[in-house]
Amino acid sequence: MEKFWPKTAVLVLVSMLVSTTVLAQSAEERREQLSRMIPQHPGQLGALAPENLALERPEPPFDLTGTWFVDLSKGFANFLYGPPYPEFIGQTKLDFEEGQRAQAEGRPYRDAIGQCFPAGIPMIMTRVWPIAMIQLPTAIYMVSNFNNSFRQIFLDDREYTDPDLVIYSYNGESLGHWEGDELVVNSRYVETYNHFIDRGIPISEEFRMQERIRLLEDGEVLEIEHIMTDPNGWEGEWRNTKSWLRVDYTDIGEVECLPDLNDNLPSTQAGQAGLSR
Amino acid sequence: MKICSLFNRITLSVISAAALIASPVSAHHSTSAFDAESVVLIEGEVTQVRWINPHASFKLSGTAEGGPDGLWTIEMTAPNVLINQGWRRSSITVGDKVTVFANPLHNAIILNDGSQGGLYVGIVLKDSATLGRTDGQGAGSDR
Repeated sequence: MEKFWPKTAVLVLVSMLVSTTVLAQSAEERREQLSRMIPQHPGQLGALAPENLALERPEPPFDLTGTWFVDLSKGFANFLYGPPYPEFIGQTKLDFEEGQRAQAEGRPYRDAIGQCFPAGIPMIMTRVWPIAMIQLPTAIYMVSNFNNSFRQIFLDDREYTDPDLVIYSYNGESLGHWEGDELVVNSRYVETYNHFIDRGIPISEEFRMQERIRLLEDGEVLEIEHIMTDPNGWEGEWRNTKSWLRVDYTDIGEVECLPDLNDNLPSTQAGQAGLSR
Repeated sequence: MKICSLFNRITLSVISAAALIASPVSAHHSTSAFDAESVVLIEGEVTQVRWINPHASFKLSGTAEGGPDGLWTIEMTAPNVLINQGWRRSSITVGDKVTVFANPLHNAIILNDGSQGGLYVGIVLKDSATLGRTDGQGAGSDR
């Protein structure tokens, strides 16, 4: 017993010292300690940083905040970005033709979305699900109800990420700026793996998309002209204009593509043709 | 279904035409795997129900008219769309005896669990209430 107490006292003291040291660390020091785990973009404040949000900027001509649903009232096929189609070239032309043949024969082709691959831009915008949009001075956040796909458009005059550091994604990196009464959004760095437009049309890493966004009819209609280029896939610009209706009486919900989803969906098991493995 | 009058015949034709015009092209994924021109009638017992986004589905085991007997997996659209059509989470449960109308797959592949696959068109529930089209016609919707 006499030997026990000194040892215990030492242990308690050491513990207290360690605890005090940890507690004494400032938030800055703790952030530094974790910095290797936190994505960095030196010199650029995050879009949600209060200092960034508080910077003085011209009043934007409109606010997209709300819930939107793609306007398919003139035909369900309007979720597609063609026809008209551009002049496809090379392998893209062959892939496009195969997709058209498959459609005519009632045969699935490159049903990547059915296999839980993200729809990606531009197709995520015309899924038959609402899209929630939140506009801030520094960014617009979009969450499609379809698989809760997340998209962000930075409005804070930042530069594109260094091409050696960027991580490609299915919705790419989007930077927006205001031109008169339009919001102009340019996107690049779009992941190409099992990422198709319409029926199996592939994209390359040189795919670029510009969206010219307007708000019409007293803010009830959102219109986007899409201007897509990909010198490896087609000649010139592929243009298509789509509309969304404000549906602020609804909310988006939680949707996930589960690992065993396809065990219960016959069409997806039949729809794997043409996917990259 | 026996059509008794010219009026009914015309009405049915108009409804069928409207259904065809509105029939799905593709939503989250292509439904072109299904034969929208034919409808299989399956009488059986529900063995599994998945009421979840982005797609509801259920399985039933029984006898089929227009297709093989046995286990069938029935693909449906999203629950939030089905609710607008009158469906509820409790509409079917495991063990229910139901009659299902479904578009079969063009190529009758055997699914991972050995079942046949179909796209939901309509159903006669255990209490004889109906949902969707139960006249043996029509294209299922995946949206």
